[in-house]
Amino acid sequence: MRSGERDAYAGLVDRHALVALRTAALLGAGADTEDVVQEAFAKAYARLDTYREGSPFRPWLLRIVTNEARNLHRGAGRRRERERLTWARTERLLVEAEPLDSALSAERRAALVSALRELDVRDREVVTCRYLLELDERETAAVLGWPRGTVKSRLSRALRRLETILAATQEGTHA
Amino acid sequence: MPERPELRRDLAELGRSLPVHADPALTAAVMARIGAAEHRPARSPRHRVAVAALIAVLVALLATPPVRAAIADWFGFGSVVVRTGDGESSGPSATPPAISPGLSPTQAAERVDFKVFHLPDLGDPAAAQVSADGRVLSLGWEGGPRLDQSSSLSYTFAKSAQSVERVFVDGRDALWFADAHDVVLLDESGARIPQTDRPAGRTLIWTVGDTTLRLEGDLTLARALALAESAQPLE
Repeated sequence: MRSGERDAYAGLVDRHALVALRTAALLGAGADTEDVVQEAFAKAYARLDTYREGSPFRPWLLRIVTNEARNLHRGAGRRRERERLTWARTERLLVEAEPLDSALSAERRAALVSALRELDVRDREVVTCRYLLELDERETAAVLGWPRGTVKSRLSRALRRLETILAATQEGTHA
Repeated sequence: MPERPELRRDLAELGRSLPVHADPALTAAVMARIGAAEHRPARSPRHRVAVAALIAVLVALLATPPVRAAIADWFGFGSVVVRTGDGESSGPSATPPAISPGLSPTQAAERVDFKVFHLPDLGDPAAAQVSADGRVLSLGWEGGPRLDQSSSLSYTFAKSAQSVERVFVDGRDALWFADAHDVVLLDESGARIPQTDRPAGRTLIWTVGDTTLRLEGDLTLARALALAESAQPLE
């Protein structure tokens, strides 16, 4: 491999590192985020022959990152148990984050995190990709491996559910 | 007008507060992993071409900043990766490989962790099998089609075809391969599993919930769609 090609790849890594880290962290890599992302970039490099020329690199990479993050939980029994573990790790990160200068009040933050916990795993994933990670609809579809139409309909349903859960929590607080 | 702007804004804010930072050491660590991997046996000759293409893409991205080029159709459909335009011949359709008997459909369904469907219009399947890694369940009918199912959350098949048609099953996106094409199994991370390449005949791919279904056989599109729409969860 010529060094120029390596340099070009290093440039791609630099450029996409942050979104890769955020994706891994929010999709369940937790404390292993950095390791998951390094491995994903190395795998992407080894698999460049499956990368389609002319298509965007970012969603292709993020799908590999997502699979790496999911693989962490492979040993953890059945699907339901894996899903619970995955979200528990993400939630811990979000709760520990609690920044001082956030535009969100601590109360709203906590409400959002617990409302996300109540969501069905598919709804949570699509909300995570589209809004927490701020991917566009096509990228979300690519990362989750869903048809675009499914992303659209899931998203709108998931937002409605979140609103309902948040409203119920608020009522509970003021009761 | 997008719905619920306030909620969406707050979710984005929550995402941005994630304590994750890109450390310049990350790139060095990645390049070290790649360097270590390069001491292993040779990679495919196509690799270099692909890297050249990546560089071209990078240059293009730098030249026109907001390029969010369309994700090509190949990218992902359920658990299937499709690559169009570089398939082999579109010769006579291939016969799907036979399924080794031994399991009933219900026994097979107990070995996988996704929802399994059957096609009652075809009668009881002649055979059912589950791949060794438990990721693909297949049903076969006497002299007839074959139905492969897998979880949409994981990669399973890659297909190279000269063309693919977008169709609808119950109003949802589906893909129709009218010609013979190549198919290869993928491992969970999307890498090709060696020696699993085979030619495949006409195939319809659709999803129901989180299951990706793949119906292969000597069928017309109309017949394949009718069968797909008749799919029922296996009790």
